Amino acid sequence: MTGEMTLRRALVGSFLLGFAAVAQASAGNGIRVGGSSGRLHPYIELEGRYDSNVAFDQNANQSSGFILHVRPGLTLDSPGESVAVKLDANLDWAQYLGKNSNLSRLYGEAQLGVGVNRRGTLGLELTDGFRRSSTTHVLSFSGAVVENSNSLTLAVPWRPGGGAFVTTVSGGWDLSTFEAFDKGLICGDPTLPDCDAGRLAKLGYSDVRGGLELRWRFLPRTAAVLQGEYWKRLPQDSQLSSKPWGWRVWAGAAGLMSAHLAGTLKGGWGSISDAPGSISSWLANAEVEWLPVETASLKLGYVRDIGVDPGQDFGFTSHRGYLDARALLASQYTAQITASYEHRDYPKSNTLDAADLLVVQPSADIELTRWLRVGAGVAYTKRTSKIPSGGHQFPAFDFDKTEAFVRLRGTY
Amino acid sequence: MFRYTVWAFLLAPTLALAAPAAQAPAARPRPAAIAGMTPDAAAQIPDAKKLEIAEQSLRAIRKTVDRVAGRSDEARVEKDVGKLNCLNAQLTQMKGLAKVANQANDALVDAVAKKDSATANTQFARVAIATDKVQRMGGEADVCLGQLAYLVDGKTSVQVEQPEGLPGMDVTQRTPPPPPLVAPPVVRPVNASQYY
Repeated sequence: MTGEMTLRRALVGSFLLGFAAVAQASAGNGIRVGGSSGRLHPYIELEGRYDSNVAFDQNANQSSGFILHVRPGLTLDSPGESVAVKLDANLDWAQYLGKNSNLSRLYGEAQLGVGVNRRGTLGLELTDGFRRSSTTHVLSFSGAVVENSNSLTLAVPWRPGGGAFVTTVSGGWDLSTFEAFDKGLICGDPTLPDCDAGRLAKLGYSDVRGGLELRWRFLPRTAAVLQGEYWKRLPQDSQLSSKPWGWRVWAGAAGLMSAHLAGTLKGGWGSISDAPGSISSWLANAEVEWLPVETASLKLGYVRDIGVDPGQDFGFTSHRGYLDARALLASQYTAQITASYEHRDYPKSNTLDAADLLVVQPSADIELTRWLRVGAGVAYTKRTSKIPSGGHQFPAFDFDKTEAFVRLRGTY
Repeated sequence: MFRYTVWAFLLAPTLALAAPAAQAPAARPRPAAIAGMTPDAAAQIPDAKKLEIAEQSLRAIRKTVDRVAGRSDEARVEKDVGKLNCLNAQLTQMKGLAKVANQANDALVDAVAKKDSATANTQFARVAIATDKVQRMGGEADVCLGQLAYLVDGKTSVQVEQPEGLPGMDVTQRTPPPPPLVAPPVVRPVNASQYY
């Protein structure tokens, strides 16, 4: 029996060594597909993450924990002249360690971009993004959720002449569904409608949208833009969700202001109906980006926007400031910091007056070899809310957490 | 079952190591008999065989010259000056050697007809040496095209890989980042575990 075990181990070793020899031959170069220009890179990413606030009980006792993420995935980049394809897809098994191990889940993410005739007069751009994750953009949920979302966009740019004036017609379909994270429990009191997992599962929706963009490059790297968008929400259950629709119009300029300074200055107006009632507001996007060298940038911006979170009365207006600074040093070391602060006002809601979210994440990344990268970072999240008098302070409305992660990625 | 597992494990590394070798381009056939040919060595070959080998050698020369000339034309279309110069340098010499081989073959046919063995041996050796050189230069032409890449599809392609972490390059396509994602802590029932 022992001899058989030894033999098995030896065979497994030789098996792995055999494939290691192949991997060493071209690790990082990928697999050539579609002629000589396309490259397929399978990869695997391992991430260890500490979360200071994984869970808390109904008595508000907070507990921390470690999560191990295993993400097998692939990237495909085929930059052809007639058709260009870009794909990044991965599965993500999140294994919670210790007492929270039953929170382990399978997630996934995929981004696909297909561009047709990008240098021609008439082109086609198709993008699709899928995400199954425990994270969400929605700030009106009372507890942790798992969100499945898919966003499909089809755009047709028309570039007559030299391409200085581009007209783009686009259409899109966004689909989102939600489920309770843990055994159907969202928040502490099951008698409250906002804590009902069955109700949460019916808050899924589809957004359909159409848009038109006019872009005129009056300088080689500076453009004036005029954008318009109409959208309509089709809720899964119209008894539990309103059926809002709305429009936005933006006008402004984007591009280089000087050799090392780029920016955006856009303003506009937007309106949402049946959110419930009507919400109208001015819109703005002001952004400045400093590009001291080609491999470094510092971006600072502000956005004023409107939107609707799932539910009956969660139409909102928002102010958001953001920071994104990154530098690539010696073609090998990347340092980055992103930060965002968002304030949302829910003027029609009986549950939530306002929500604030602060996220700060500094990180660093090193390319050890062409096929191996390591990275580490810290993320701080703080969420606060303003509740109307007589309202309920749900767990997801007020919390903070600190996360630290170490990441290792091997790419074939 | 165990026996099949053993075979699978044994075969896998073998196949894996054999795979790169299988992808390597096949070596071009070079007539061993004519490599390093001398008139004395040619004397050991019957005249009829000499004529036959010489004819085969001329065909091999023509084929090699045509192959390199074709790729030179492709390089001209692609406007790849470096590749074109490299190919033309080889091609000029190969054409000269082809001319020498043709003249030597004519002289060989005459000499065999006249039963002039000394001249036949000399001319046969010239054909053999020219063939050897042409084939060697054909191989060098392949190398100068960039590690035999030409043998796959024959078209130059430039692949630019942008390192991760670079800021966006098209400064007119600017959209603000999407709202940040948030993961609220999970609410556990009191009796969910022994720790609560």
